[in-house]
Amino acid sequence: MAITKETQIGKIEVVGKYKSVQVRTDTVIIEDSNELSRQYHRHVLHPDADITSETTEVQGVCNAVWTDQIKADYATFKANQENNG
Amino acid sequence: MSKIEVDKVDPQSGTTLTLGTSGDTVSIPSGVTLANSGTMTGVPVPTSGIAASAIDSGTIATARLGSGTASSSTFLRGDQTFAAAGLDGWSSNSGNLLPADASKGIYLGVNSATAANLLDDYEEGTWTATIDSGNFSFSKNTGYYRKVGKLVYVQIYLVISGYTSGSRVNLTGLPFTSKNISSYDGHYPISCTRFSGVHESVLAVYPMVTAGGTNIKCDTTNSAGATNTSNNVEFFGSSTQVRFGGCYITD
Repeated sequence: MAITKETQIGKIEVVGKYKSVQVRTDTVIIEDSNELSRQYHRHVLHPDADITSETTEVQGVCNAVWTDQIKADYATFKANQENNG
Repeated sequence: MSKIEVDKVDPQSGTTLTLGTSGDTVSIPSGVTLANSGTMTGVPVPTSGIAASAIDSGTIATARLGSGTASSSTFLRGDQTFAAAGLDGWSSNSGNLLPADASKGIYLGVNSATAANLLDDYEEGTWTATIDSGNFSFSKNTGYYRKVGKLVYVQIYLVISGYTSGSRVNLTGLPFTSKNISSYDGHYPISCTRFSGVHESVLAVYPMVTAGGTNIKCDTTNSAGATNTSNNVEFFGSSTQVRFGGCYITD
């Protein structure tokens, strides 16, 4: 009877005009190949985020969708929000 | 080969009329009707060409009924194929409906497929709050969320234990990006309560989830003056404690 705890990237979702990358990290408890429980933790990465601590898979998605144009547009959006909103 | 034409073959009383012997074939040509007004016994289930209404009892091989796999979890459709019981693309898991495709949901309140009535997501979990670009340490910064369709409810009890430098304005780390409804200013007001140790002296706090983002920022009233409201204040300090909770929507 072996009980193990695994961390998995459960979902990577690209949403919105500025291609925010939503990451769901699943913590899974497994006993003898049978999943006992699964809990979710989420975080979101915007185009100005530091992604060096993200998994290679997440970094790959971010780098694929965050074009220079997207980064520039998001920077403008964020500046407008901070100055006016 | 000989041919006998009679209108009746009548076995002797108390005897049995036998047609052929083992290995022979008794053929009924096309167009000939075999009428039966009496009782037939010992007739095997034929391999083809029998009306279901003519079957009194017995079992027909499922392969003769239709194609596919016959089992306790399949049924025979009108086109003579065995198909999985239940809704197409759904199964039962411990009594709960389970879609084969995780993106599928249920239309509620309509009898035609309307996107605005589709409920296709539910999730619950945790998120970790930080202060955007500020250098803070925390005693408690794990929040909880429930997502029902495109509506997200978040809650957090935040306890800051230290601050050294940087922005004090935006609490960030919400689990889903909010929908950007109206340019950069279509925020989602939420609520907070039992706050202490905030950076600015305030009478009332009006927190909101920023449009198209994952931040909570606060407007405040700093005095009794009704119009004396500050926007996007430096709310968070080195010992701030605060409870936030509220809803926003996603794309």
